[in-house]
Amino acid sequence: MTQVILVIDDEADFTFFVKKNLEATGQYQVVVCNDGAQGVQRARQHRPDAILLDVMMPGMPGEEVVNELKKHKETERIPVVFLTALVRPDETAQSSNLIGGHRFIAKPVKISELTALLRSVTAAPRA
Amino acid sequence: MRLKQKLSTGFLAMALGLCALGAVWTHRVTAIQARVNRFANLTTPLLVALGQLKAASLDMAVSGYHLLAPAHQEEPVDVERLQELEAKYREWMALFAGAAEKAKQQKLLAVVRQEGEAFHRRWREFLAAQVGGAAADATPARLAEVGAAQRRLQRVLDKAMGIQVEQLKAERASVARSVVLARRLSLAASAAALLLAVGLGLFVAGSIARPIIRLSVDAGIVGGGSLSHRTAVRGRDEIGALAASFNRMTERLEQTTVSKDRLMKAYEELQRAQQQLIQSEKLAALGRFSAGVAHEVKNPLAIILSGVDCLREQAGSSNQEVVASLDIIERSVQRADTIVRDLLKFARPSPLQAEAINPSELVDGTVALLTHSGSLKETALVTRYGHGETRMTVDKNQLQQVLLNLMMNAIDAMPSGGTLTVSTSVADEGEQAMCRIDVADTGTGIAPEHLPKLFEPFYTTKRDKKGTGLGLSISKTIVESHGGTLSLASEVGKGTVVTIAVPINRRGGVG
Repeated sequence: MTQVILVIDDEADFTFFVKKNLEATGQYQVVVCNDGAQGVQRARQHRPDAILLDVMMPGMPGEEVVNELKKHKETERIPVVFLTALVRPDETAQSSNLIGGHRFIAKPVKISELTALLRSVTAAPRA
Repeated sequence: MRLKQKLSTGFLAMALGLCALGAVWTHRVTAIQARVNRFANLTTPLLVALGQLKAASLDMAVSGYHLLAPAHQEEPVDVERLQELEAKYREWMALFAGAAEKAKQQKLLAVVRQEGEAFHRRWREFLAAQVGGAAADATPARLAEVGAAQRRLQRVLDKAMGIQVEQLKAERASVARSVVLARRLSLAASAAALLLAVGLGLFVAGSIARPIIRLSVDAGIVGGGSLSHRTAVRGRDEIGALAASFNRMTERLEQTTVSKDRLMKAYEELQRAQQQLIQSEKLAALGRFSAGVAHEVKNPLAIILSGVDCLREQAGSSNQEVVASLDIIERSVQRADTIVRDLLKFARPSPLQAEAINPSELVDGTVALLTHSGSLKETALVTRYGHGETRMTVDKNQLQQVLLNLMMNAIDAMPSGGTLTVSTSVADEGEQAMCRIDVADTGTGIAPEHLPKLFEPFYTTKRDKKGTGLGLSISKTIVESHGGTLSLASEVGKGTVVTIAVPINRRGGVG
């Protein structure tokens, strides 16, 4: 059974490859959105199993998107994994440095690392 | 006392000493002169008179006997000669009377006078009888009386002369003693005057020279740089005034120097602050720039890496050439990513999470990382722990990152193998106790021209593109954020020692 993953990132080229790579595993169905505000709508609409969310985006940045998701019952418990280009390597290694209680992964990221992280967040009970 | 007065007093005292010496000498010479005079004036005329009296009385008596001798009885009496003899006798008696007036032994001299007069009387009686033609038998009797009187006179004269001779001897001995005494006194006075002159000279010279010598020594000390030194020379003379001026001058010099030092210090602090400001401005700008670069570079890198994953999936395992190319692209992406990550580490250092740890724990942990990753290769590793019970309060992860970086650099510096020595110690640097970790290699060493630039960002000596040129900069930033220092000493062909020094307080932590 495939899982639905919503990828919200303003880099269309990046989301293009992430979608292809994740879907190529056969385990995921990927919905892509290149805008934060639209991403919230898509989340409410599709109710994905997990959301990959870019931190720095024009318009609505990642943290605001999370706050919006928390406002709606249907999206508040969806696990979010932040994707960020602005993170120190030691921050990824320390679980205490989660952004707003969510996991995050530093760009550039290999598909193998991404799927491993998605497996761990979707397997965990929704907080 | 003023210098002129001092000198005048010294010379006056010497002159007085010499005058006193002269006075003593003159007094003694006068005393000797007086004794000699007394000897000449008193003793000698009396003795001469006594001797002449004796000779004259003897002449007169002998002339009497001569007159009465049978061979001359027929000859006429030479009255003139007899009168001449008597006149001489009277003359000597008068001289004797004059000399005897001031002489001692008046009693004896009275007897002499008495006997002399008695003799004179007998002589006159004899002569009267002789000239008057008295009875022949009467004349010899008169002559016998003359002879007897002459012998009595001669006895007392001999006695008086003996006494006078004794007195003369005594006087001579006394004069000799006086001369000896005068000579001794003169010697003693000369010696005393010499001692006095030397003593006074030394005293005056000392009282002038001593403060000058002290002042000279004090000037030497101040000249040597001890500007807080003051001379202890005091006094109301010119040297005292000179010393006071010297102290005032030194005080002003010290004040000026202190002001200058303060000014220089303030200037240096200002320069340092300016440098720090420029540096922190540069770092802040670099931070902003790095963050921007990181974001803008990491996104395309993420696209490329995702694209590589996508293409690798599509190529499968059949097209090895494509897979090999994709591997190269991925490695390049990873390298670019490492550079950007290092840039971020440098530009935005993590906040410190300090904990008290044993330095050996830090070293052992880093060694374990190197060993597991197989980085040691041909390198022999030696660890020496000399920190005792000291613990460091540091951010363990960050310090480990520094240590790892330094040890990796050391290994890179020994491509053909060598010895990597990591040692710990506690050292006092000024008032601050420091915990030191030395990382020493036996590698190629670093040329002196590279040394000043080693801690600059993006400066690297690794020609094979192994480094980003940020490792030492990041390490330095981390160590300095702990209040410590990172220093490096190197010699080409012998190796390099990099030292981490972090301050500790004596209760076991690092400040």
